[in-house]
Amino acid sequence: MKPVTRKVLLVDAHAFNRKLLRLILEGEGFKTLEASDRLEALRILERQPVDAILSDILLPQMDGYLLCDEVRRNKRLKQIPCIVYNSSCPSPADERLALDFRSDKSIQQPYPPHAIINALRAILAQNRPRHSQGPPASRKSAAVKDHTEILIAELEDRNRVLQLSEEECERTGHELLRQARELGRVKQRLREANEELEMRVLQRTTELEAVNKELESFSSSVSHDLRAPLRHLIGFAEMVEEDAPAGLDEKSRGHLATITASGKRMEHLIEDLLAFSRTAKADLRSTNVSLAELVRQARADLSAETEGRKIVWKIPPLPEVYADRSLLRQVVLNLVSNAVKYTRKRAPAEIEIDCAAETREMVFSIRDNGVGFDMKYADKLFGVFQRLHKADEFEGTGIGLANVQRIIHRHGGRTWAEGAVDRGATFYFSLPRAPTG
Amino acid sequence: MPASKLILLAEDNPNDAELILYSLAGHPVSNQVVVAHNGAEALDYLFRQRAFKHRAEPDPALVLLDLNMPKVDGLEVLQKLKADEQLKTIPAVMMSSSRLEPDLARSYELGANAYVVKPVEFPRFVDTIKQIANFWAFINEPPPAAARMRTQPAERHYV
Repeated sequence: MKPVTRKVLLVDAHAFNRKLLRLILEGEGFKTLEASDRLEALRILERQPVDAILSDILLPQMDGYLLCDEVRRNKRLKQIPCIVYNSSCPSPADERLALDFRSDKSIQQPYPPHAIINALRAILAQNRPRHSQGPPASRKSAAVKDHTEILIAELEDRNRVLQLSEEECERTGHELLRQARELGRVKQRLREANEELEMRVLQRTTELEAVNKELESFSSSVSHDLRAPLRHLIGFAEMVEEDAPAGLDEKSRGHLATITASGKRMEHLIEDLLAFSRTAKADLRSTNVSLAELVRQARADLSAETEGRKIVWKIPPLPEVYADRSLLRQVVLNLVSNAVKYTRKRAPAEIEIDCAAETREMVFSIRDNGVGFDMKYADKLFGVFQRLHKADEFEGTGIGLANVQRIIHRHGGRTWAEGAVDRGATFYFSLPRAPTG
Repeated sequence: MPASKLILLAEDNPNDAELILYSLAGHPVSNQVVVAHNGAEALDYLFRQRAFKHRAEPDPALVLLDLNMPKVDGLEVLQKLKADEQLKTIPAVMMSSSRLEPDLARSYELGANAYVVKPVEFPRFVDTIKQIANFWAFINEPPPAAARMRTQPAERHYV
């Protein structure tokens, strides 16, 4: 027996919903008719009979229920099974209302498709007589009114929430997009800045190297060229003194001595400058160097200055450090020499040397009880030609500590100092620990 | 005793020349110093050219060369001196105002026998010059004259 093709009337205000349901039902072998509202549905029903009605509850207003109700009251149509679904805002009350209006089945959602198919099949199989009687009309219209109001209010509420969250979504979306664009721009700027920075560093390094080279050649040529006239100045002044008849008066002798002394001072200045410029050029040849040995050598070199003075040396066993021996020798000699020089007025002078092994570096310190310095000048100590004392008080060229700093910097270390006026000074330098492995 | 105690001093700076002569005053070699006032003159003297074509004195026992001289500098004189078969055994002492690494290296490369930095301090300057004179004139034995005077230098071309 050829199966009978069942005809279903789809009532839904939304063409999309109708199309979806049509595709589902046709896929299951049903024929479909479509109406977008109650009146259209009734017109279709007048023209041709259908086997079932599948309707959205929320056709404009409460049309789904009313359609049901009218179908039930129509003698010709009342046997047609009615299934209503709620595609918008399903609630438990819907089912009760649907039954009040004598629909055969209420489905919360028209999806998934098997719910509808199953409901349709079940109802068509029953083939039982339809409800001929519903609740009294007065109760029905009251219920309709109540539900209408509830549903509308709820709908409006949900709409508002929906609208708000839609707006919120839109705003968030815009904001996210804006932030993403901003992030992109920032990243680009960062990349550009980085590239520029690298370029600039390269450029500055090249410039610095050039300037350094120029300075070195300048200082060595100046040092070289200054020495000849200086030699003549001193030489001829001494020749005057040597050759002068015994009668050269005391005053003239004093003047000649000043010429010679100034010349010698300039000579030292030039010497130190030369050493300073050599420090920049010298290649580092780092090995393990005994600090104890360097300190011992420095004290020996300074024996002329320390002779006859009372100096209490506090020197614990000192470790080896990794450095260029001859450069580090200059550093130690310079610092020890300073300590000896600036404690000249102390009896006894105290000079304490130490070297602490820290995680990444060795920290050498030399403390004295000499004239010290004002901490506000601490940053000037290591500058070239910076002197905190008058030349007639403590001799010096103002290059020694600059040289110390340059040598330590070349080793990747740091220099610093602490002190107070008349309360002594402590000078420090650090050196990276020997590379392991 | 070697025949020649002659010292050729090539020094362009009259002050330095005077300081050196002053330092040697009273020294036995003091009246045997010949001063060339620049590098070209030193070469003329050494190679018996131009003004010195007919010099009567024997070749010097020592050449003191100032490193920095205009036009022909000490290094160039040294190079020509040490490249000459007849003269290369004459000791050459380079003198400079400071110890510049490249000068030092170049001097020894070219065959300098010593390199001396002129001290700035006068007593040390005098002492240094006297020591140089003493060492090369008295302590050091110069090469035998026969070794380099085998042939009388005739026409030498030097540019």
